[in-house]
Amino acid sequence: MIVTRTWLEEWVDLKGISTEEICRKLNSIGLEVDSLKEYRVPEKIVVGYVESCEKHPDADKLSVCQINLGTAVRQIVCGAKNIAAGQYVPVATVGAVMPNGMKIKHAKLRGVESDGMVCSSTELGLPELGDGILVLDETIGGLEIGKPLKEYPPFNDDVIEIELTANRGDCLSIYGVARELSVGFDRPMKTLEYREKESKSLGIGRILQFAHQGNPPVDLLYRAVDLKSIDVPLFIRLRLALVDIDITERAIDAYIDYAVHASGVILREYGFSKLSNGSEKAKITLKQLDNGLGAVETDGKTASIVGIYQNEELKADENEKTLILEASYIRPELIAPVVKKENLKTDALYYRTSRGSEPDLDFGCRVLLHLLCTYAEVEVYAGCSEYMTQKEPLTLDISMDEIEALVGQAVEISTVVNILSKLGFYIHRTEDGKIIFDVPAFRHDIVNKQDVIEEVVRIVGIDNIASRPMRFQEANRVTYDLHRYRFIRDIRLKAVANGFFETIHYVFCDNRRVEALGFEPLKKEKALLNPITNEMDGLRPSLMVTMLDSLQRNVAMSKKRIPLFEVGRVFDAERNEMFHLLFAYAGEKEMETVTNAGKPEPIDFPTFVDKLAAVVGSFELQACEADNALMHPYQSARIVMDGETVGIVSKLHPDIAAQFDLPDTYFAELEVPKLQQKHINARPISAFTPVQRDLSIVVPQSTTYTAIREALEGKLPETVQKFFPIDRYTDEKLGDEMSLTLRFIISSMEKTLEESEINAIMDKALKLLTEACEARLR
Amino acid sequence: MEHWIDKIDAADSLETLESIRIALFGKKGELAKAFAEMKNVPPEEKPKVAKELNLLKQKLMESFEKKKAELEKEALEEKLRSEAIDVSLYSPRPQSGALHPVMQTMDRIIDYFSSLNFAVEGGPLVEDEFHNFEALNLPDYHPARDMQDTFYFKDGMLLRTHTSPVQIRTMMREKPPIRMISPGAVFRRDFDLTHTPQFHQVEGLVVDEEGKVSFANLKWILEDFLHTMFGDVDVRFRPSFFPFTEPSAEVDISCIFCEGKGCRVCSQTGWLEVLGCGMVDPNVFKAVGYENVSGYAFGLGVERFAMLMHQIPDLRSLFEGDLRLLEQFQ
Repeated sequence: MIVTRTWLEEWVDLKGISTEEICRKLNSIGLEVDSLKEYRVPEKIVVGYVESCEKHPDADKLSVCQINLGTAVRQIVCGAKNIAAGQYVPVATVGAVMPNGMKIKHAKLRGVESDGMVCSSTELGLPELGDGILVLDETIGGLEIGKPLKEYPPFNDDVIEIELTANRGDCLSIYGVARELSVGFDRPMKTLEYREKESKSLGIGRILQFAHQGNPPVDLLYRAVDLKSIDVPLFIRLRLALVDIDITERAIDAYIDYAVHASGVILREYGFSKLSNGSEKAKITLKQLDNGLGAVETDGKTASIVGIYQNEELKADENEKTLILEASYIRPELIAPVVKKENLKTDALYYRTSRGSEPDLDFGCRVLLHLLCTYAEVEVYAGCSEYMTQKEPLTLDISMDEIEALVGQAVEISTVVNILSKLGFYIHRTEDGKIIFDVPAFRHDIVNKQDVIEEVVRIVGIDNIASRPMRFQEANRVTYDLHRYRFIRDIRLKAVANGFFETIHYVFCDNRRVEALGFEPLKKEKALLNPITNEMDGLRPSLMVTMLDSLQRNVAMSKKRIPLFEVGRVFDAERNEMFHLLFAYAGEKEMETVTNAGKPEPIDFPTFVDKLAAVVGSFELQACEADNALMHPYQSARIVMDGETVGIVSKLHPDIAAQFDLPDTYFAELEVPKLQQKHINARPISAFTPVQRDLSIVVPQSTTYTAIREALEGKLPETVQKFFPIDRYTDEKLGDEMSLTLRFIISSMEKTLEESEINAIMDKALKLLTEACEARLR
Repeated sequence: MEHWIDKIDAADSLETLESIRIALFGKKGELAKAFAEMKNVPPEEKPKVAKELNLLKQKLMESFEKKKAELEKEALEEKLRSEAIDVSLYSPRPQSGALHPVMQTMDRIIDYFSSLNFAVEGGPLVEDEFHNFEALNLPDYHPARDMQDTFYFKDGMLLRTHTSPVQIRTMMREKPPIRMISPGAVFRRDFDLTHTPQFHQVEGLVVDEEGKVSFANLKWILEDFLHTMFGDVDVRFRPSFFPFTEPSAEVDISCIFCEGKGCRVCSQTGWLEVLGCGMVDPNVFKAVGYENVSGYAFGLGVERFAMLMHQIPDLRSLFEGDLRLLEQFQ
């Protein structure tokens, strides 16, 4: 909603209040100011009268004008096509500095002296008002030759754009905003002096026959005028341009747009001949539709559906002499659900009707007729035809205690009464700290006490409410989600300490990529209905699918070491949400430093796994097959914790790496819910020094460590604290076999173990391995 | 024998000193010889000669020990010097990674509220219309739904447009009093310089008996929160409209870049909008079956906080994983 200061001043007295103060007040009462533009015509630009206008002797496109500036007649060369003798025009005299910084000087144009410039609206710093120079007329406040333009209020206005919230349909008019300011500043509203001569003795009934069937929940009011002549004067064009309303070819549209913007009432016009079908009377019937709305019909055609749209064909033609003017109202809550449900076509005024237009139809008509009588030549038919629905006003009561409880501090009852009555509420009475009142019809947003308290709060000003801490009863609010959040935060911090950078990606991804990588996209019936781009039409099934882009971007930006991680949601084909943790590492194993002579090794499987374990804790790796095209078929593993698979770790498949221009890349994707913190019970520790023993065996090369571990686990005496591989060796001599060295840590709670006891354990281990894995001692 | 003192003083290595020791103090050394000569000294002179000899020995020993300590110290210094490295060559380049500025900001916000005993609640990203709109006083024809550009699925489900549905889920699951925040990703169908289709929010909700929760309480906590996050800033409440709160307000802080004087970031207004809040609308309580309660709610965009706090110029850069941005937060 755009308002101007002078327009507001037609309705409310703002004398002595600066525009900045007005903006501050609008903000503080909940009408957010989006922008403020101040239009000021510079000094030395005056009203000039074109006494003569002749072709320039040496230039086709220039005219040489003699322009009366009051003090003198000056010769001015002008390039505009529309200049003509007899016009009043804005003239920038020598010495004027235009808004764009141009200084007006005495000049010679193709040999002809020129003492100034005739201005267009944009040259004056105003919005564009058609091609060529601005032709002035009486409506700007009289035409006085030589009078500076900066003394004409219409050219020197402040334009305030308000970002209205959807509930405030009552502020979609100059009048509505003025009413808010009258409350905010505690200033009275002005009453408009209507210039509306019912110039015809003929009543509207002579030319309009208006009937209704059923009881549609709408209000309609018709007036009629005969048009003698109509033009859009500069004053109206200027104001509409300032509030960003386009001017159409039809003059009547500008008048209606102006009246709607001023009053907030929905106004439309019909050509008499379109409704009369050749007869003496225009005939219209209001009918109730099945969906509850009201339709205006004529001769079997729909002329309009109240609050929704008008049949454009029934608007007046150029030569129409008689106009039927219609003001209408319908409660917004009645139309919005129907429009949504039936997907009805709506016109520009629906923006207003769906948010709540002004219900005082007579007021809107009077604003429009006042305009027509002032600026056009019309004759108004006496009386009106109307259909009004009786509306019971909503009566509410509110006690000062209720206000205090919600606001947190007491408000004087007289303050509340003053605020509500200024806002248009009808106060029935006050009793026992309680106010009983009616809600005005134009405040569709107010339906309960809390809405009324909001009115009080915004006018009193939230900044005038003292802050107060709340008292709470103690309660345990350590939720599962808080635990999970903290657990993940610990993992994130460990990831950071181990060199990984956190990233976030959109959950959206390209379905073609999802399929190409061997994942199943969302099932058709569960797919996104309105993706924002084709490349974002799916939801990622794995964090690695979107991480590829970040890896690629960093490679493109010459990063040689790219360790990234992300915690986030992924979706399966059934659109189930899963919570994953991804580590991805591309490029060099460490930073370029003196120690590695600036040539770090590329990241490899064991180094990546070590980093991973430093973050998530120890795990076992079990060889697995590639589940998708991201995984390297021979360098991928299941990550197993306490016997449960919690995720996978893999080298990125070289094909995919090549496709995204990536160097060697490893990644691990884990399921967060399976990583929950483990409870640990401490084991007693022995007072005796543990013994370390290595066992080197030869086994077939195909033997996995998993097989070796399984052969030993749980089958050795309890004194074996742990065992782990420390060396793997192959050479030609060994052929298809390999040498593997295991280290055993052995310790007893009771004593220092004898050499013979240790040997027995190692023999047992060898025996187990021989049985299970064809191992022999090296 | 006094010349031995000069010899000791002149020794330039521990080896030379050792040869002096042997020549002087050894079993066949000069001193031993001198003491052996004692037998030829007349008895009446013996005490005097012996005393002189002992004094000389003591003097020689002292010189020797002093020199020895000196040379040892030099030798140690030499050894240490040989171990010297250019430590400046090893000024560390941090090997650690970094948290994402948005997630780190979210951590700070969660820290504040969980320290004040707010529960942390999560919920699904894929929501239904009831939890995301209807229960929040947004029937499907409500003009305020224009504000929410929603991603829909073909089966009528949607990606949540705010984290408010978590509040609905929590209220439907639990009885008041409630004191919670819901942090997480949200989605709007908007993609340009200042909008990304996905961003993060933290919303808060407090519900207690009717009359116990007031706007003054809401003001207190948000002022305290904003001072914790942004330091000594002015906080301004502007009445506004949200379908799920009434009264509603938008909260501004004085611009942290120009201290309220007006700059490009604050569009010359001197204020930065950072929060939306209000008293919970009775229709929301009705939707979840609560009676005789009062409550407040608030919500904020984490990206906006992170961008303001760290002066990050481009919203979209937060989703690109570019290390040149992320490394700055090491």
